[in-house]
Amino acid sequence: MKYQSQRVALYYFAGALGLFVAQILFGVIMGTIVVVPNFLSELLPFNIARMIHTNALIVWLLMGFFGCAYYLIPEESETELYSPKLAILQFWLFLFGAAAAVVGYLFRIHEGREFLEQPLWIKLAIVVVALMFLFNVSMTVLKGRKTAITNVLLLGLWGIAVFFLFSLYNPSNLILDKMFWWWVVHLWVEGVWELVMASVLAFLMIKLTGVDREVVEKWLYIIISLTLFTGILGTGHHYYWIGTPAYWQWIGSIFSALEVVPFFAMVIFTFMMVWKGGRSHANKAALLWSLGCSTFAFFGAGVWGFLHTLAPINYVTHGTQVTAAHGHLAFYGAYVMLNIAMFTYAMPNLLKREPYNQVLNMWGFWITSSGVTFMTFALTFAGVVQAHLQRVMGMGFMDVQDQLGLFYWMRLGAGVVTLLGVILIVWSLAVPGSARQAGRVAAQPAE
Amino acid sequence: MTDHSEAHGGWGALDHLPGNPLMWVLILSELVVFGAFFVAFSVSRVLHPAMFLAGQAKLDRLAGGVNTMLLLTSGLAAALAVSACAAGDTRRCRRWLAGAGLLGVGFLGVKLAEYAGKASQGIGIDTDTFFTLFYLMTGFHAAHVILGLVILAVVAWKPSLENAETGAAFWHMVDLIWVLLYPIVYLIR
Amino acid sequence: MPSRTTLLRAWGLMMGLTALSIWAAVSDEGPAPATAAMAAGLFKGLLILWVYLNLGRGNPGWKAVFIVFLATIAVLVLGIFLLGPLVAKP
Repeated sequence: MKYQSQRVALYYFAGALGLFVAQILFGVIMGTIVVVPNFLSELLPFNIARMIHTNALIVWLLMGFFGCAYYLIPEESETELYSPKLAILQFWLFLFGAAAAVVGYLFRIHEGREFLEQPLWIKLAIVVVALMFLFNVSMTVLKGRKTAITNVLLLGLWGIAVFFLFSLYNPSNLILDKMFWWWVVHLWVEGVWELVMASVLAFLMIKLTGVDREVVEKWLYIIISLTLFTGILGTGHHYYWIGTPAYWQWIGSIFSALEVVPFFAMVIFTFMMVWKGGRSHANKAALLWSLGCSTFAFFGAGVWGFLHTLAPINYVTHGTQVTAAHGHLAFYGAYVMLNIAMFTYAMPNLLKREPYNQVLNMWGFWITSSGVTFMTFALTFAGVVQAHLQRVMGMGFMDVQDQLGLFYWMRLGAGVVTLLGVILIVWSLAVPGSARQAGRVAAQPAE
Repeated sequence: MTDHSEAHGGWGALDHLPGNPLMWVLILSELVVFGAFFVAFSVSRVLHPAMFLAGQAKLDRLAGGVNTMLLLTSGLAAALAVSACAAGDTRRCRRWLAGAGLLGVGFLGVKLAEYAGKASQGIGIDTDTFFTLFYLMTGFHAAHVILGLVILAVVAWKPSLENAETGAAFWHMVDLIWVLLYPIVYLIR
Repeated sequence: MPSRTTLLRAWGLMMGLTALSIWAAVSDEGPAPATAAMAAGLFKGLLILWVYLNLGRGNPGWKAVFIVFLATIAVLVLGIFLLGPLVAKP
């Protein structure tokens, strides 16, 4: 940490980690409801738990991105943040909005539009939060040094805000409704979020491997070109069966099939940088998360996405557990791991702690990753069986669900393991490590 | 390629191609996308042989051939523009670029006449799988011709050797895609 | 840079090939003109890269990439056209 104002990132990291635990907790509750259908049925119906699980995920990832930006931008721009006070106010407003949404969901107050269930006033509050944030970081970059990393990060962050505006547009025509709904849901995760991901990874590579900025920037430009080239028209893979013209099946299939390419480029990028850099940074855990991020994103978003992206295949797998498998591994690999990588790198610096729980953190990595991986396989098998029985053999939906019980139990087990791993991660980041560990990991000092 | 492009450096293999390396990221991505379309078209042809024969019978092979010749000539002009630029003759470079652009506009004119003819017969992108693919492939290509015209205009406005090489690289790729598209869509039956 | 004569020769060759493949395709259909048209297209594509873009004097690695890429497309398209019907109608 070089600038005092970077400390505002701590608010965001703490808030994000708290919501992370809540998200996984609700995930485990949902996993339980699936196998024990009457569990909490009066108090917390499945649809409400699902809203909280998915909304908490998105909100904590965004909160993490905000924190990443508040840490990264002063350091890259070589100047203090434009207004730390505004950043703190923004945090509390955002947290309040998120909490109000969750409490509202528990009392059945929501708009029912999947993932965008937030009542209108909360959506508007989110827009205000986004404007406060963009103003703050943009002013910081404008008064400081402009680098490829800050430029791409700002492009991604502005894109997040712009595409969120489509959540306010809810046409009564169901086809148009779904079409623009994807402009938020797809153009975020397969578009502008990837820009955030690439720029944060680029920052971490510079810091952790010591590779020249010039090299990293070139990779960054190539990755974002490929992302935008494939991701924007790749949205077409959501337009197959919602009433849009049939040519979307061709556009969506061809462009989204290539969405794996930027993810593959990120794998090559991170491993090349580590291999070339040769510097042994003391923060091994942050490096592990960075490499894990590109690798798991490649498999989760890239490979698992490709599995069911071609229109003729999607015709049978659409909306089965294959989608759930892809969703879990993709979000974990691309965006959860990215945030944790940045938290793991930045928090010891912010808290001025050399002896942090590096080994515990790495156990958290392996346990959580194993949990999510096992869950992905369980859901993938469940999805393949489901697609076959339901779509090919023509069995009834509930009869098929009965056949999938074993997979759902396995998913619940994997979910519990994931929860344990997450608790380890949070513990390792929040609680100071012992001096004994410090002796073991204190290698050469670095940035 | 040229002494000039060595000024970039650090782009790995992309340094060995003329012009801006990021243009080549775009060009290579385009080639993969069109390659996928060509293969998808060929597979669809096997799945619906009668539909494809009927559809191809409605295409104007001569118009397609004229368009091939227009683009090949336009590509020649673009290559001559780069030569002129390398020789430091900005005026001649601009003249050749204008020629290349005009031939590109001619290509679009023929294309538009072709589309209008189809439209007057009531044929559109939703007619059948053949015409869906026909319009997607030729439409995407025509969109690249338009983008190429914009790029050529930018090069004519700022005709450095790097810009000329970058713009010409894109233009030649538009050319390359068409010389493959023409036999695959219009001729092979 | 390729000389003006080289560029003009390549252009003339490609124009001639185009005329030939139009003529072949208009006068007949089936495997022979299809193969001729695709081969002409592949050859023109390589000429554009080698002469217009001057890759002929460029890096051997890229030359191999482009040859393999274009040949793969041509072989796949022709292969599917010629052999596909045999598979589709057993």
